[in-house]
Amino acid sequence: MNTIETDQKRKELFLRSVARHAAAELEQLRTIPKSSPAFDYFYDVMDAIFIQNDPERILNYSHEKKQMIGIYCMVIPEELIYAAGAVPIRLCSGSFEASQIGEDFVPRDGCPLVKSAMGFSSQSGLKAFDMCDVVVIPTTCDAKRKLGEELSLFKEVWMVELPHIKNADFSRQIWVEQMYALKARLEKHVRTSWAKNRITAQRLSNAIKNSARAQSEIRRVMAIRKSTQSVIWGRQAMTVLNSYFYAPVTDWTEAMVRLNNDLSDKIQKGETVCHEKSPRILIAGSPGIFPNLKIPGIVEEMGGVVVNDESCAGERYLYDPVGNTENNLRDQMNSIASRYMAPCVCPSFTPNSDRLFMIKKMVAEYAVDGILYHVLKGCVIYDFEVHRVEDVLKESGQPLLRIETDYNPEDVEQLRTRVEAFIEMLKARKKNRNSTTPIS
Amino acid sequence: MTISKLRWSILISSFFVLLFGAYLGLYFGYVLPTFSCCYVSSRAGTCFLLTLQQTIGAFTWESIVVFLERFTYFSLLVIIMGRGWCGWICPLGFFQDLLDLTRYKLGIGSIRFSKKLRNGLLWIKWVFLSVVLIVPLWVAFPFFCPCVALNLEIPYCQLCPGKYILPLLVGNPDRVAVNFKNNTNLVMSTLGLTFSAALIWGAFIKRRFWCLFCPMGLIISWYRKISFFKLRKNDLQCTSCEICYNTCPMEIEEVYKSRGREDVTFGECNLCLKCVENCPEKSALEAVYLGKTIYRSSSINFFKKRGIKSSVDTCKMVEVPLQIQIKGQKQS
Amino acid sequence: MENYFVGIDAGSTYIKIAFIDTESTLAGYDHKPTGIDANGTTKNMIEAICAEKGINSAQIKSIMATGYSRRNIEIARSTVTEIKAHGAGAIWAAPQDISIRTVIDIGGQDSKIIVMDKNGEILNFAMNDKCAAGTGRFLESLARVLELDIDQLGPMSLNSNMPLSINSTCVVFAESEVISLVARKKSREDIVAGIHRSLSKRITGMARKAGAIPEILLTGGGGLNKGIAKALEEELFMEIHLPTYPQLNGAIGAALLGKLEI
Repeated sequence: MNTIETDQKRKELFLRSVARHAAAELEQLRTIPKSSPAFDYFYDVMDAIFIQNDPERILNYSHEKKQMIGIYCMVIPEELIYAAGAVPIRLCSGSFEASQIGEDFVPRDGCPLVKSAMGFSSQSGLKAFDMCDVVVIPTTCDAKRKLGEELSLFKEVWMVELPHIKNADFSRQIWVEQMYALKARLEKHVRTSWAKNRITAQRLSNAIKNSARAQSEIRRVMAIRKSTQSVIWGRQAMTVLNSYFYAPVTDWTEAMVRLNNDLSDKIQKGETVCHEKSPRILIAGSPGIFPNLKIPGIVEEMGGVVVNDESCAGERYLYDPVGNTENNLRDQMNSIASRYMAPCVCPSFTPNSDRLFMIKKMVAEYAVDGILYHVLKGCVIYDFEVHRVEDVLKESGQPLLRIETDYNPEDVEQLRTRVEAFIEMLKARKKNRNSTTPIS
Repeated sequence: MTISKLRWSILISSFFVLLFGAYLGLYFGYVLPTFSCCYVSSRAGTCFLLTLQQTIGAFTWESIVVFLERFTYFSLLVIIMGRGWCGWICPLGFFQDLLDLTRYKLGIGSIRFSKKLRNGLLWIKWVFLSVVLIVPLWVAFPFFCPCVALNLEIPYCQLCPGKYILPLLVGNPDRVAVNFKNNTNLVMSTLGLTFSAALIWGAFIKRRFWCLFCPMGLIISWYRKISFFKLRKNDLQCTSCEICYNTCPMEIEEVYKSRGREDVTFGECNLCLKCVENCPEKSALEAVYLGKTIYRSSSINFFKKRGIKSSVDTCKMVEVPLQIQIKGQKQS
Repeated sequence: MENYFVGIDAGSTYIKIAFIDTESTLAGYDHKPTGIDANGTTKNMIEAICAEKGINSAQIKSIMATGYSRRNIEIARSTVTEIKAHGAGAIWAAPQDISIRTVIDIGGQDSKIIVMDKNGEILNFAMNDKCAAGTGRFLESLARVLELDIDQLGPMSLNSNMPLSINSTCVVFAESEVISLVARKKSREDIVAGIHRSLSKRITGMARKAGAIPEILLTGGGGLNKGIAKALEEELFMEIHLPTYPQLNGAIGAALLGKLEI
């Protein structure tokens, strides 16, 4: 076999193993009993990306080919990309198979998310990655910074400097400048078939409004998850939110409206997915990304229900709106810059006390019984914050379980034991607390 | 009715009441904490800065008694509204807002000042304040250059843009001229016209430009701890999204940055409530009168304003102690 | 007719069974190597105890399994994690007037720290199930290198005044280190004490992270070894209590939890 054939064979085997893993996860999701048909759109997105390997099916821009711009993290403005006439695809990835290939470029103890991204980028084959000829990466954490350098071997990489001392004046200045620079680069790069590629205030205004609709729906699903009657499993919610990475914002929002209507109905009718006494868990820390549904999967297998995901792949990704009051470019760009930097509580910022306020608020609003702090191997910055989160929880009294893992499915048994013990602990606490309340 | 529309209505009504009120027989005295200029003959009341200059400039026992009496009324008025006088009633403020609206309708963006620049301009309002309080002492006791001092009469009013702009707005262009009566008046009126031009141009490109330099605002801001109208923040709801800072005409950062304090009525704030109106989190910011919340921020209204119907507000009000000690962080 | 509650601790090396009666006294017990067929071994053990004590199956009101292979035990009616089981067992095994707040369980292939409040509710726990250092396997391997029986290790270490330090964390490399110490004619007592010290250092690290507080109960195979108890006391600066049946702690706890459920 010559090298072309070996490469081809390798690509096929790789894609097949990725598809197999994704298919197994989707199968588990689709076979959840009494699951709403409104979930189908989101599962289909994942199917198209990972199994069918046909992103254009969900992008449905058949009459007009749009350019795909790959982005990482949650600080790159999608509104700018949509306004330029392109489509943003978030490439933060959760595939174990890809992370094994990525180990050629990423240190063994490095972040598995970055390994997975490098794996997909270096071993081409997954179209969602291949179709992005430009990738925009912010300088958030160590791993992302070096990812930019390594990825430039395979793709055109635009690095965007995210200042880390959030409260300083110079930080805001630098970030706004970076936004204008990104705007200029997008205008130059994206050529639509009918001339005009400038990002105008009108186009930006439309893009902002589309995103705002999605944000409004996210807030709705969050309110639904706050209810003590749980009508959606954490792993379902995670898949729904992750599908936003790939789906066009308008389609996703429409599907979300249907899902939210369905879920609200279920609350009215009392069709819950689990007992009200099931311990409500908040997952905080490093992001879990489809198909890595390991952590919420284990939690829910052991009898808990994940009510919120504090990571950057969860609701936090879509929560904050762009708050411009005027529809001129200056105000819009300013507001976009603010929205993507100021409320972001990624631990790559220092100091990051806003995150502690957010966790406190989440714990109170979602009636959380315990926190599962997920640290990906090598994710030092999230690990740094564990003790601070524990301190904050001392006031409200919720226990915290720190779990360190990567994408490898081999440690599932050990995780199960810990999570099961944690959930037992929470159940006992819940029972004791309920029994000590006086009967009035 | 949105809070913006309400504020515009009150600003328009105040403009007409204050500057044309005499035709209706209204008379509020010489105690107003706002620019109801003495050079407008149809005014319903007069700016307190005039009282300050006249009583200090005379410096007799009678004038001190007059001062104390008027100061009491002035203080009461300030305590009732706080810097709401600036945001909701001041005719010069209204004029600046009109200029800002014109800019917006023309599709031009506004400029913003960095914190460094704003801090660097703080001294100007203290200079104006000293012209109000200290220069009249020179007029009262002209130990040197008595010719200049005696010609100063009411020194601040010669410099104040109100003297030139407000009569113009009611249809009297006579004040818009350099006063050649003597050298002092020449200099003062030239300066005054310059400041007026600066106000017009400044307010066109930067929101509420004059308020950065206003000595009346400075005096009113001293009352902020005791006035009835306040701005309150609920720490747990705030996501530090910076939207309040972006909409604030006075560019106050501390509202979103501060943690651990409930009262966020800062000295610069003229209580226009744009921050509360645009805050996307339920009850993160509230306008409070005598301790009672009269207007609060809301997620539903945020999205509704932008044309999106949001069906449910996303939080239950959480009662938590606001003194949250985060290890190692200094409280602002 | 007395009622009995059975607890099964199905570990990867040994299966432990405890029978508790309605007074919560220990009515019967056994432990045997797991072998290949955990399920079969368990069944045989239970039948043997029943035959020995003259118990018929109608008297058995609950069978609760814990331990690594708990889900494979068909005869068990419900399962519980070892954390909870050891916590319950520790309350039962606590010496008179001593409120046990921490359990240190050193098993054949894993070790655990469990911190409880005075009512036995679990507050925090830490587990080491990835690495042999800090488990019974560490002692077993090194005992073999020194050509000693594992039961001899404890008394020998107590006879030493100067424990040597073993620097290797990994049990495989520690073996080579022990061999070289023997070649350098170091006394076996000192070497054995050094082995215990190394083990207790691993455990102490884990215990501190979990927030261990007095009083501490040492269970599992480790609970038979007074040398470990002494070494732990010297590292943790807290007194270590030994129960009467350290290896049965999990099984007894499981049985008690089974009794509570009924």
